Amino acid sequence: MRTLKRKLLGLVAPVLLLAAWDYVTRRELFSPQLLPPSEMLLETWWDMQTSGELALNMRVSLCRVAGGFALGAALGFALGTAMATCKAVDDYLGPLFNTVRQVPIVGWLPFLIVWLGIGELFKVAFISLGALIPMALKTYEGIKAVSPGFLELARVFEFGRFRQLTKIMLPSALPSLLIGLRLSLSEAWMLVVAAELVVASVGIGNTMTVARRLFQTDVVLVSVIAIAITGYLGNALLALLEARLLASRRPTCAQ
Amino acid sequence: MNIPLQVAGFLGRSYRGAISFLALIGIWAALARLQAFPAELLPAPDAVLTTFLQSAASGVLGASLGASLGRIAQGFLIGCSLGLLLGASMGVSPAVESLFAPLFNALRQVPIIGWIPLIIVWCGIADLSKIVFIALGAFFPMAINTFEGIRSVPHGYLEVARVFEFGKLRLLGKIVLPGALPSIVTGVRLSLGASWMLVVWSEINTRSAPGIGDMLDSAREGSKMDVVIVCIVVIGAVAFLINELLGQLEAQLQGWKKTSR
Amino acid sequence: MKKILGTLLAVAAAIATFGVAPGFAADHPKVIRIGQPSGSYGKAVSLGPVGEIQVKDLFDQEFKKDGIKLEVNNIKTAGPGCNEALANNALDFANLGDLPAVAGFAGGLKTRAVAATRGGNTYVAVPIDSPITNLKQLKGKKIGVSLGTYMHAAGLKILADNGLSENDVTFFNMDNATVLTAIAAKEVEAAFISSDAITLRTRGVARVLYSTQGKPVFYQNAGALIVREEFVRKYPDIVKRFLKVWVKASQLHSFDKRAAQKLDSRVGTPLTTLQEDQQGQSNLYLNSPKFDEQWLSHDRRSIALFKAKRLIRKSFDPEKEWIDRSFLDAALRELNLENFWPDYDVNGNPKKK
Repeated sequence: MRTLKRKLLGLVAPVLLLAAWDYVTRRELFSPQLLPPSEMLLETWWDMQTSGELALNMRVSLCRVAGGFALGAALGFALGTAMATCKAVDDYLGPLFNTVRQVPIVGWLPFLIVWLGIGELFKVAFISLGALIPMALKTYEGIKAVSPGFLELARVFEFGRFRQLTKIMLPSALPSLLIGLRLSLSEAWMLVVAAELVVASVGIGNTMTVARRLFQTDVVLVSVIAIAITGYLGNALLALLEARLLASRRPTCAQ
Repeated sequence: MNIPLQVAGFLGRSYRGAISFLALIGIWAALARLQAFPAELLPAPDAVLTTFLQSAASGVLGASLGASLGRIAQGFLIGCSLGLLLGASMGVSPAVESLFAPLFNALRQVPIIGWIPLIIVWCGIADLSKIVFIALGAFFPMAINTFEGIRSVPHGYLEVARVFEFGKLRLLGKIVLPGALPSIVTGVRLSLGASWMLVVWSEINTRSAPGIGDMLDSAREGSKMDVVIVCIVVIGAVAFLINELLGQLEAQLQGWKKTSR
Repeated sequence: MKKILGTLLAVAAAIATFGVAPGFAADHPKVIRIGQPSGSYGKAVSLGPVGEIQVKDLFDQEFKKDGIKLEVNNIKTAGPGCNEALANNALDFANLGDLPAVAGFAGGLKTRAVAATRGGNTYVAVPIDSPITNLKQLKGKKIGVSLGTYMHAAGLKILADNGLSENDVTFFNMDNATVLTAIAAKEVEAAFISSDAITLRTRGVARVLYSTQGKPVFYQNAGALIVREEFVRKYPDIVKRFLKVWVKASQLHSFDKRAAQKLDSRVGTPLTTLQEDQQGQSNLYLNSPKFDEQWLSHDRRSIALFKAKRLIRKSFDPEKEWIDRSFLDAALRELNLENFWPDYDVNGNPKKK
């Protein structure tokens, strides 16, 4: 009953938003090209769906996101762990990492293009560069936040480094790691659009960009909504994973 | 407090940190020397230094950086405060969470670049658009980190507070916010990190006006890679300084948190 | 909690008000906003008639007495960005290339074309050591192009003449800056670009395989000065006076080709590039604001092509639905310039009277 109520409550805001949209488009407060009416969007969506255009472009972008996210999150996890557990790595790489990560990723574009071309390699590398940063930060932060008591306990039991990492640090850093994963995935989604905006021949971000350039705002919005829904599903999947992992962990921690 | 030791430690750390920077510059100089790439795609470090000095002396660099910093400051402040507000309310009140979380989580997935056409509708093509764009980008990481931070406050603490019959405000001030602080600071850092990227995107996507992003993009267009590198290095350096300041602040806050307990 | 919601609502209301309410006075606007595609760094310098208006102070001579100011917006996202700005009333006038202007109108943007603009060659550039020697070899190649610009339009025409369509090649859509990098880095096998190709060739990174120089003018850009319909309805008199300023500026730009090129080079294009690009072309032709036979046939053919290539979804007749000559004609009459520019025929040759 409670969960049903909560779910219903969650519908209030989107419904209000849709109602406002409908009102605005009906009154034509904005020009219909920039905020198209919902039935026009449905029609456009149907066209894109039946022609296979939406599925094809989405598939291409999904592959890029998957590749960039997997690579970026893995590297970010490794880097974050190394910096958090080994002081020398932190000393040597910390300042460089903290400086380089501040440079807007778009600034690297000319160089990435020169080094990696404009094909899939470039896009996956670009996405993974962005996905790496939140994952490394959150891993680092999570491990650093491990309570000193646990570490002392590990010392008492004479845990080796590896065991200390796998048995103490990573489990207690898990919530932070999971946040890192989620942030990293959002970043990957954003960057696939950015990469395809800069250079592409196919992909949902490319569909969006080309439509924007040809002033087909309905196509832009359908692409944006498709990206949002897919991203939402990906996020929900990670949330599910998080709930399971944390649920199985909680009893041991609470006791 | 052992100040000499601290200073020695800092020097040791920055010495090690400097090594990796020097290594990077060394590799760059070697690549430029060997002409691994055409000189106009990878200019040598000294050419970039000359360009830097020139653009700094002519005031172009300062003016561009100043304009962008102004936009970041405004957008970041607005976005961060709103994000903090929403994240905290969702973290504290299950009702607010049920009301906004689904919409928030869906909107959060819209790549920020997708908002540009809509932002232009509401805010035009002048500075307002750029600021709102930065604010929007800062809003999401701030809100989610505040929310997650508050949710990660251990149940035990809350129960203790209940035993001591803390009022809502006191609970928030004494337990919830201090507990969520590390995550909130991460939110601030992520937002700030994102806002550099956003200021560049926003300057590329609206009316041309002085700004470091505009300078970078115009240089890219004119294939002036030395200027591109100057922009990248300047952005990196300034952002690093701000980030260090934040780190100091974070350390102070952590100290405050410990003494207040 | 109510407080928080209240604040949020107030902010939302503020945004809504700012966005919707147009800040106009009743009889004339305080400022006339014109947009054009440009990436000139922060400086408000422009090329063409807008450049003349700025340098010769033409706008103030006409409008200063009413306290109306001119705001020139250099839009980095080029023509497509101008369309967005027009749609949300952030611009009143815009000087656009053929594809963006047509795509905006076909997409439902309520605009009027009030003066013709011309000129703008498209080049097919290939990396310096490319084996490609003729256009037919573009089949199956990766081509960099900034989609939605007049170069895209010209590229389609060039391909079609060589028995190719956009499906025979792979278009990589990128912004202009990236096209230039990509060619220099040999990451695309060819590119459809503007006179930047000459600059690239001078720097030794690209070869020009083909250009629309000296080809029938149909291959060149033929854009328009457009204005929001609402603006025309509200301030017909202002539009008429602005056109007078525009025609004067076009006349000044028509006199001395060298001076005109020098003015245009202020935006950053090397003077030598401009000279080579416009070589052999009449300066009168390049600056004529007239909707003559040449312009109209160009526009009709382009619209048909864009429709066939699904770049626009609705075809229209420019003469009947889009162009409004009344302001231009009045300005030409008033300035006694009706015969200053000849009418050009379909092929861009001056018609004998």
